[in-house]
Amino acid sequence: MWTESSSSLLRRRDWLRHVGGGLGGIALASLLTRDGWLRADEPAAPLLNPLAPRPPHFAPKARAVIYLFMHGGPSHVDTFDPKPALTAFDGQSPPEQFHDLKLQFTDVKKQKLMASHQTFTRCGQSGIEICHSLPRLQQCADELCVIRSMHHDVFNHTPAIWLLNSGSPLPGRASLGAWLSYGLGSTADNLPAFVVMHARPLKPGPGVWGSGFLPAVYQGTPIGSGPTPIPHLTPPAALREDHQRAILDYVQDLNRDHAAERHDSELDARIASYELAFRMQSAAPEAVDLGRETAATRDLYGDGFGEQCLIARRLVERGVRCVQIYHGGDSEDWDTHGNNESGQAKRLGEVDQGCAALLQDLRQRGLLDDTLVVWTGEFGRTPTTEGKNGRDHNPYGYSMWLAGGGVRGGYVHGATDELGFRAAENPVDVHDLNATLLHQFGLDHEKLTWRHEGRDFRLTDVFGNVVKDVLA
Amino acid sequence: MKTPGRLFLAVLAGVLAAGQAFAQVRFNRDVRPILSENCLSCHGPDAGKRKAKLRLDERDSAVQPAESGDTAIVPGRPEASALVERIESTDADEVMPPRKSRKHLTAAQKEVLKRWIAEGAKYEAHWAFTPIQRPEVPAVKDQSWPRNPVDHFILARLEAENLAPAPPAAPETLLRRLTFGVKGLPPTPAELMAFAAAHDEASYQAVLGRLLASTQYGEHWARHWMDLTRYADSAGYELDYLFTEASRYRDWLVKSFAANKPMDRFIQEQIAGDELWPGDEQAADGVLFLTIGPRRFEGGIQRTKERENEWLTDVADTTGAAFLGVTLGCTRCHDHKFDPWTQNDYYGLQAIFADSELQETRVGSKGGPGDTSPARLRVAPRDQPDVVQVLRRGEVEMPLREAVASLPAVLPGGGPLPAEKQRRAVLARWLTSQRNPLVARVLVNRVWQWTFGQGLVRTASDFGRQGEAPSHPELLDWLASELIESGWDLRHIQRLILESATYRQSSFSSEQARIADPGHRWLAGFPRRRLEAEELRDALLAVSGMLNPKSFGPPVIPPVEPWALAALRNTHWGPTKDENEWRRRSLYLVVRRSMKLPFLEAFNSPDTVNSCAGRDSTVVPSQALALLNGPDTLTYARALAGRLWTQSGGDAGAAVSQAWPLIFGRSVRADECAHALAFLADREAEWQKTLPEPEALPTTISPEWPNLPAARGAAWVEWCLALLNTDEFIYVD
Repeated sequence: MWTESSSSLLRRRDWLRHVGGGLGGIALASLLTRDGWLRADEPAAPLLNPLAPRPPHFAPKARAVIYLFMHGGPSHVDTFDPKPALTAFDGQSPPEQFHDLKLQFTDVKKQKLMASHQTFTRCGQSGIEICHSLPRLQQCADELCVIRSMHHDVFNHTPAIWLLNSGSPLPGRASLGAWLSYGLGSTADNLPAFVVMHARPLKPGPGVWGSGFLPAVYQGTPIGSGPTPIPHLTPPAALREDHQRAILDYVQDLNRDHAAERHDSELDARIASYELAFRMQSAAPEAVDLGRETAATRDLYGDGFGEQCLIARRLVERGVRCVQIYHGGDSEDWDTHGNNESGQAKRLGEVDQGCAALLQDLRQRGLLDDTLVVWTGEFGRTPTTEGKNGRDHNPYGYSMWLAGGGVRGGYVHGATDELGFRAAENPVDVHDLNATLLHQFGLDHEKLTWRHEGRDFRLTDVFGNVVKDVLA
Repeated sequence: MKTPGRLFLAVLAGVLAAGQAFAQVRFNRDVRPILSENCLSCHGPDAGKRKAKLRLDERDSAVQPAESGDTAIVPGRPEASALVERIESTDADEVMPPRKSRKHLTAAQKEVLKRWIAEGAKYEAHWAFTPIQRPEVPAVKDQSWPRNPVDHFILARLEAENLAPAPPAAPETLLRRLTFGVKGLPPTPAELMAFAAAHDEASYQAVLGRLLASTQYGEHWARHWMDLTRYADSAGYELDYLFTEASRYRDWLVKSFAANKPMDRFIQEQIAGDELWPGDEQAADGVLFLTIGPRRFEGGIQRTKERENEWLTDVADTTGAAFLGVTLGCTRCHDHKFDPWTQNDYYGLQAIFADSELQETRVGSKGGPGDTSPARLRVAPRDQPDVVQVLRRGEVEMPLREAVASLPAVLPGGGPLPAEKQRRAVLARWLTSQRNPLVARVLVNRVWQWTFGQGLVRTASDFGRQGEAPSHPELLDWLASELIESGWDLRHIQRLILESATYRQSSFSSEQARIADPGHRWLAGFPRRRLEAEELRDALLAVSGMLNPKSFGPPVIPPVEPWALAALRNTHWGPTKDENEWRRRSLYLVVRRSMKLPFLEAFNSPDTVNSCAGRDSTVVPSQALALLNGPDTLTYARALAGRLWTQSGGDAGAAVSQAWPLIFGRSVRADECAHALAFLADREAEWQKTLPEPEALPTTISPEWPNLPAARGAAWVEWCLALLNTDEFIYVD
């Protein structure tokens, strides 16, 4: 049973602040009479302001997540999981025990083991081994929690990207960001709760940041840089921006007249949504305006992916819950079926500065403690060749890292076998990962459910265990 | 029993349906929901997950002594029943449901279970699986209100709740509601005037007949049905190539509804049109239903077995959801946890479809893994039905045993199929047989939902045990039997509903009703609703005079904004050449699985991967931004301003008087007129201050605006934009 407490009164004020700006007395009064907040484990979301802040199940460590997704599959044996045995047996046939691995394009037993050309350095006090193509990230080693034992069994891009993003290889489920928005609501006054950035098209399309069966309000909002970071944020050229308030006032006059005699909270919510939309028009361009950063900060992050990381920090500062950045896609992908060495090095070079800058900047501003940073692809790559010098997809064992948000820095969790084919020690699957991410937000992955087609759906389906070892 | 009787009764009354004290505990109404929510995931139909071999959903099992010697339920003797002992236990290791399940029985729920056992632990079959029996039309106190039997059922419940129906809606409100509800479009001012002038029963009947006979009615209700059958014009996933035949299925839907095709035939054609009526072109288009599902495989992967399984999965799941209203999808991986469906039922249904195959011919294909050339679709009979395997966890790689083509065993007429060939024909006949308890109930419930915004069963595609019980079970069965007895005449059912006093109520419900029934379960008033995405766009086109009313044909590809295409890998987005096509009704716009059209998506257009049982109606700022700033809305506002300018001869007062009926379906009040004129004057003065070059005005593309002063034209466009953003336009009372 939900009882009123001082904390819920606090939330009520937050919520009113969220929806209340510019409302007339009538609308406010009727908003007040209506419950706009529910516990995260209530089965049904309120129709009225479904983004109202909601308390977590238990005390959270993280308030926001910046999720860096490497589209195409970074090679673990070339980045965070050095394999001396691979160098020792370079060019030889893989042992029989790996012959049954089901890969997309290659047959393991017909391939040769292929050594990495990366040089690994033990970095920081923790001595975490990081490849030479990530020189700046090497400086942040003690912030990183590297998981070397990630695994699943989906070996194609599209379903694997779905799996990482929504917990299922099939379309139709809700993404992590959507679950977070649903579970916790929004703390951003004038911005969406879940923001997405991507430079290139993704294989599965925009559904991977969708809300699936959750209400559409929880889906990610893709933004770019430039004058239109959020769709329809400025009036068409032929309409003058300085006229908009007058037009909106007229609309709201008519809407208030209409709502006054109808006593329908949905109509009141609609009036509020127009005010939030109006505020977003000025707030969103400001949030992505990097001209407001110092030259030193902009230099720290660099261009391209770095700029997106900087925007992510600005969004998190402004209360956005989940920022997802997709790197790669199309011809600029991590999918190195040929020329693995140069291809991976190029991608690593593109993200190194941004990743390191983000961690350093968040740390310096005191934001890293409650901002979780995630770096992963949809799978790793084979220790064996594809063609002359490529690597095939390998979901059976690969690496990723977490930082901040209450995870254990300077720590390596789990291991693959000697050659890097399969997760061998302390394996972590996608559901374990998602259970852990939700846990850091104070959400119990078994209690965060949505009733759909007669079943209570979860991000983690019927699986997942919080990986306690990676928590600080 | 420890609880004093009087207190117990009070508690019980609170648990049971409000306001009525029932003499006896009823299994379906009172007990099953408690068992289903708290017990059956471990002690239910799923053999794989069953604990202690105890099954509580079947009486035979529940009253048998267990291995331990205890008996869960001893009918008539709660004190001897292990179930009672366990639910009342304070021992953390003994108590049921177990602590770690995080489930919890309230004191009132425990009392219901005890009393039910005391009264003999009588089980009932799940209501939706029992035969449809035509109930008596109930008596009501207020004889003057009901117009037809529908009203008797509704009023009987309202009277039991001590609620009064709302007064009748105003004629113009009723016409707007009716026109949107039947055609998905607003009434024209001329229609409004004619209706208001002769508002009697005969004219209502005439209007109803005219609306239901229109092609636009077929279009609007086809769009409803397309939600259920996961309609799309493309394959989805990575390649998302177009289907050339999908629009023939869409047109078949429009024609079927417009012609009032009997619903049994309507269903049969979709499941087995080719088998039942070989050579019949119409039937051949209906069965395209089976072909338009999503393709869940990636370029470069050519595993025929997986593709074949994905198709069988799609057609079995969609058939279960759309026609039977049950969630068979769960049984792909395991026996159903709450319903008596087994994996044999599910794969038995798949095996029915395995008498045929999905044939796809790519048109103009250059081959290769990235092939996005369109596909021609066809369902073709196989010489020998394919063998379907029951799969462990739905994995093609983990076959358990061969499936036998069969109809769900728990339903009347269920069991293995007699025929080796033409299996779909058997399924189609079984679905539409008089004995099938689900199909007619599910269908009339959908009609109710598409009329009132929510069904009598709100879980419209889940009539199983986890679904919601009907608010008016007798009305549901009465309508279902009426449907069957009328020869599956859908229009007859729609007339019954649309003629009813229930439908004609005002949406301004009393304060008492708002408090007692905020969810409109008892219908003491018409539930206000927001226009659905397609209705909203169609209404914008209609009131601005831009609508191209053309029906049928291949999907129209409208231009979309570059940011929307940016995330699409295989763009292949070539807008239809003829711009007039872009202004057609929304159901004729292309439905791409990998990218929803931005405006429609903002207003909750449906999922196209799975059958969609009902639309969301969210309220989010992105909708406001789309309507205020979206490129299309300005076009509509311009056209609307031009239309009003031409009609009024440039007279603002006349334009305001004409705008209200056109946009809101009613006449303008004096204060609203004054407000509008003041706004127009103010806007014109504002533009006058700094008048931009003509090409920068919002009015530039209207050649039909003779002698329009620039600032005034700009002001009119702003005013029209405002009107199109109002709730009165976006909502239907």
